[in-house]
Amino acid sequence: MNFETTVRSVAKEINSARRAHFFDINDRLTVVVKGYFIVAIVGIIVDLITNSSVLIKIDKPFTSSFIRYIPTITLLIFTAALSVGLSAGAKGGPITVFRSEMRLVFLAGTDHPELLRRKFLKIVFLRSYVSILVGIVIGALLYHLNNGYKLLPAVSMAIVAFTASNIYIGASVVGNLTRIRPELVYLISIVAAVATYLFTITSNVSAFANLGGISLYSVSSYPSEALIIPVISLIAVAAGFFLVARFELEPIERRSELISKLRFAVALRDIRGVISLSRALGDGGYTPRRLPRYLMKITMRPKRSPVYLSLSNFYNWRLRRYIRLVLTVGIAVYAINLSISGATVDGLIAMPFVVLAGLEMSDTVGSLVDHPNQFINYAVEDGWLLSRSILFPAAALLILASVVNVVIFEATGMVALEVSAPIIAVMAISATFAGGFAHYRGSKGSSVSMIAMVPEAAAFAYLVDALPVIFANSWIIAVINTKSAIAHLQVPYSEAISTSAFLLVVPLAIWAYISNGRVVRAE
Amino acid sequence: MANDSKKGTSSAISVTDVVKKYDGGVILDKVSFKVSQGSITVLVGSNGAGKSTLIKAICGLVKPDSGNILLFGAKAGTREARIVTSVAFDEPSLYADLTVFEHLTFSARLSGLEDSEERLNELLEKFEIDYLAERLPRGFSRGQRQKVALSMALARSFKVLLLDEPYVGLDSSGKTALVDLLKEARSQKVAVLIATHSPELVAIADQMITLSNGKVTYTGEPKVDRIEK
Repeated sequence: MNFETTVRSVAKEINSARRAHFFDINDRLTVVVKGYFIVAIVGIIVDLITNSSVLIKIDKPFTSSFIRYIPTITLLIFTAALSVGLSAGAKGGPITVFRSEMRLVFLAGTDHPELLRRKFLKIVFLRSYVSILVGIVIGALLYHLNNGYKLLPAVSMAIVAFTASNIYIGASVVGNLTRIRPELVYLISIVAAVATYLFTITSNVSAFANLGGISLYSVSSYPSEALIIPVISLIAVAAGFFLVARFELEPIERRSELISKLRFAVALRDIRGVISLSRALGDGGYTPRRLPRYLMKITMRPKRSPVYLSLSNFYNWRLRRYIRLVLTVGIAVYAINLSISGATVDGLIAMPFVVLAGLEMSDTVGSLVDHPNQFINYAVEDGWLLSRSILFPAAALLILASVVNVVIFEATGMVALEVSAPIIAVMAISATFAGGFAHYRGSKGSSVSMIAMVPEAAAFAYLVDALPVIFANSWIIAVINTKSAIAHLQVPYSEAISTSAFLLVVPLAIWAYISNGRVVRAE
Repeated sequence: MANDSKKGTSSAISVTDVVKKYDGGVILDKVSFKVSQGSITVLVGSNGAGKSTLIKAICGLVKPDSGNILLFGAKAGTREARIVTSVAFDEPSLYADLTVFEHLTFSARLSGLEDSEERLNELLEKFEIDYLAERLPRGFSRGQRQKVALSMALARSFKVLLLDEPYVGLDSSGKTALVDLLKEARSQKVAVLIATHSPELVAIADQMITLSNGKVTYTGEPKVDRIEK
């Protein structure tokens, strides 16, 4: 076995050794939560697609106009992929090699071009799978929205997404090697977008639109020019495969080093660190691809230890806290009623309030995790410590939200109680469980952050932190199911609601039970 | 050393007129020096003098704007040069999902060494981290991480050893172990280059190079009193 073969086999062994430690660095609880998260997301997507024609009303003229503009929109997507790709490349992308790998593998007697190409291929395959999947989902959604129009949008959109992904990857390699300035790229994109728009409004069949015609490939009259861009994108990827060998290690090292520090800063919720490192990345021409756009920090230091895991905790609240909770729940329940009776998007108003209500109700969990020894004298054994601390607040929130719901029904009558009540119950229970999870994650005197757009380096860590928000708002599944059931008049909506409730609440209860074992073990 | 004879020199590391600029600032300004086999050379200078950049340039991570760096006749950064080089940087960087022993094993194997278990255990014992062998580095202190990184560098097969601030975070036993291992490397004809501020390492060196604002200001006998100058 020659040296190069040895290196290659060792590199593979490193990967398999790392996989073997997957459960050591990701505890089983986190794995279960991540798995549940994926299932929930898939469920929501399926719900959205199957019910899209009910949720969003689009008339025929709008559909025709929309179809007419699809090629132009497609071309704009390609232009955006080009500019974003060039920009990402100019900032050091698309390949990221973290320091540990750089130090151990790349600085050994390895063949850099081959390692870089292998990484490039991984990126290409991953992005291809993801883009095709996204394309199929969007296509399916479009198909439902434009019911009756003879298209195969799932396949068309998959091709469009795949092409856009290829353009992005090819452009990023060129951007990396040429260090083209992002400002120039954005300028080109704006000019392209304006030109596309002008051509579209001044001409029935514009040259630009023809180029984007691949999205209508299943229509017999699609223009042959439409094939040009997909073919070019494939060539770009092939060229990238060879050109990536010319990448220098220095910019990759610098970028990955800063990203590594950025990850650490993000993990510590060190906002100043995140900002300064993002600037450092920008100064070096290597800005992260996504920066935090929205940050909400909630301090998780309970002022006093909870006396017991019961409603007695609420006796110590100040009056203004009761008022705040009632207002929060009131706005949330009213907005949920709106989303049941009108467009589902109205539920967006409810989302933050549901999260806040859940956090407010379950704030004893943080101190439970911090000071488990304070509870050791109680006759609470294995398995139920944390669960009980959540069940009582959940019951309290359920009662409060139901009362508020009845008040809103009496005042407005916009949704029948038999429809809204089960959904409000699901909201109350999932919000409290999610609040408990947030406190659990954010205990030890630290905080929980909710990030809408996160740096790529910390995306996964933040995903877990964002889970409480997602859990808390998962009542929207119940809303969607109910609206669908009512619209189709086939499935009793109560069945849809109870299915949703089971889907949402049971995993949360299991999580709480498992978490409790951790608290006991921590002692 | 076939390459040595080819180039007609006994220098393991040969740095000639190396220039490196970042954002208009000159980090390395026509830096030239040689390090011979079986010697320890310390590279000293104040913060920002260019020591770390020079170490990175020699191991092939940083590409100089001009000038030449040869390691046993092979250009820095080429596969031939990297095969003979081992390096430990100032900030230890470890995989979160590999145990300490796996780090060392893979480091050794990537340099072509198989069946080096005995040597690896010896390194762990010398640095007094053998009890960490099967643990993941999560939660390790700075010093423990530094010891693992140094053990990884020393676990490899090498003719050139580059260390950037190796004393940072080390306790006294760690420092003693490192000095012993450096002396051992010197006796095995390894060329050692260390960027440091430490008088203890200057004391065991054969050559001292001082850098100031990217320029070599002194090359010669190690003198502790020049460290801060």
